[in-house]
Amino acid sequence: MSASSERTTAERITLLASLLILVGILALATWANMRTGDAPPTIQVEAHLEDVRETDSGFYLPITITNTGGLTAQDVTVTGELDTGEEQPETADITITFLAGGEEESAEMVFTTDPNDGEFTVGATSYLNP
Amino acid sequence: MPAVLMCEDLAISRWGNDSVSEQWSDELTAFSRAFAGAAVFGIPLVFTMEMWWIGKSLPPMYLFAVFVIGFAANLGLAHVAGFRDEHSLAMSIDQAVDALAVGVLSATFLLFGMNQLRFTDGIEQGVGMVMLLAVPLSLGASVARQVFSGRTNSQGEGTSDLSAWQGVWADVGATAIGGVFIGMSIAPTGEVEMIAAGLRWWHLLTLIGLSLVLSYLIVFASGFDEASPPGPFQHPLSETMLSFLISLGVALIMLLVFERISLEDPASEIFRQTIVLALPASIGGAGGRLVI
Repeated sequence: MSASSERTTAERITLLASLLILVGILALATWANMRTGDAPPTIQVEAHLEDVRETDSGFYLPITITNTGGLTAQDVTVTGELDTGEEQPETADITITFLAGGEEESAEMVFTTDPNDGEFTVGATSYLNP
Repeated sequence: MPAVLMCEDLAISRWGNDSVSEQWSDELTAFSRAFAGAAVFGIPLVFTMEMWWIGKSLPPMYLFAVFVIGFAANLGLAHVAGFRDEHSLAMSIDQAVDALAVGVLSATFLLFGMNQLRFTDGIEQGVGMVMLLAVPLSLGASVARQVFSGRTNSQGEGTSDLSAWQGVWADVGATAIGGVFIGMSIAPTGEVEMIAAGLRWWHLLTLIGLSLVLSYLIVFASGFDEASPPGPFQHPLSETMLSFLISLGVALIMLLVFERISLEDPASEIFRQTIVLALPASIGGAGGRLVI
C-alpha cells in the first residue's frame, strides 16, 4: 500500500471533511480577529439592581462584566461601592483572571443592605496587560 | 446468456460493495486510532488551565504560527508513525490534515464537556482555546499506531494464554494502573475543582459519555486489542462499563489521597469532582489495558 499513494473514495471524503474543519476553524479565527481588532481592553460593568436577591446572609447583586475591546485583560478588578449615607460606604470586589476581547462574565456582589436603598457605583479599577 | 450477465453484474456489484464497506471500515479504524491517540496523549494538557488562558489571550498570528508548526510536526510524525498504514508523501500530508482535524474536534468536545467552551462565550475565546489544544491532541493522534500496536505483536500472545477470570483481573489491574498513571498528573491540580464548580447536569452527562466513548474507541474500535481472552467482561460493552466503574473508584481514591475532597464534603461535590477526574482516569485505564 505504501508504494501506491492512490486514495480510496473513503479517504478522499474524510480528507475533504478534515480540510473543511481546518478551513472552518481558521476562517473563524480570522473573522473573530477582524471583528474585535487590536483595540486595548475596555471593561464595561453593568449592575442588575432590579434582580437583587435577598437572603439571610445579605443582598446579592448580579453583575455583568464585558470586555468590549479587542485584546485580553488579565486580573481584572471590579469594585462596587454602596453608600447609604449612614455609615462608611460598603464595598465589594471581584477579580477575573482573564477576560478576552468580547468576553462577558457574570458575577454577584454581596452587601448587608439593599443596593437599591443607597447610591451604588461600580466599575473596573485595574487590569494587567498579559 | 442474460442469466450469466446478471450473475456477473451481481458479482461486480457485491465486490464493489465489499470494497466500499472495507474502505469505510479501514477509515473508521484509522480515525478511531487517531481519536484514541489524541485522548491518551493530549488529555493532561486539556486539563491545564494555563492552556485555556493562553488560548484566550494569544494573538491570532501566534495561533496561526502554532497551527503551522503543529502541521509540520504532524507531517513528520505521519511519515514515521501516523495512524494509518501508508507512509507515502501524499498519505503523510493527508494524515497530517486529518490529525489536525481530529485535534480540533477532540478539543471542541472535551472543552465543551468541561464547560470551558460555552455557547455564551465569544467566538474569539473558543477558537483560540480549540486551536491551541488541537496541536498537542493531533500529535497524540499521529503517534497512536506506533505506541499501541506493540501489544498485538509482542505481548498479545502472552495475554491470550490467560484464563477468562485471569483475563478479567489483568484488565482490572491494567485499568487501575493506567488510570493512576494519567490521573495522578491531574488529581493534585486545582483544575478538577475548578471544572467541577461550573458543571451543570448536561456537562456531567457529556463527561460520562466522553469517558465511555473514548475508552471504547481506544480499546476496541482502534483495532489495537486483538488478543483478549474470552470471558464474562470481555464483551466491548461490559468491559467498557466495568472499566468506567474502576476509573470512578480510582478517581475517588486519588482525590481523597491528595486531599482535594474529604468525605465530609457534600455528596454532590464529591460526585462532580469524581466524574471530572474519571475522564482522564478512564482514558488512562483504556491505554493501560492496551499497553500492560
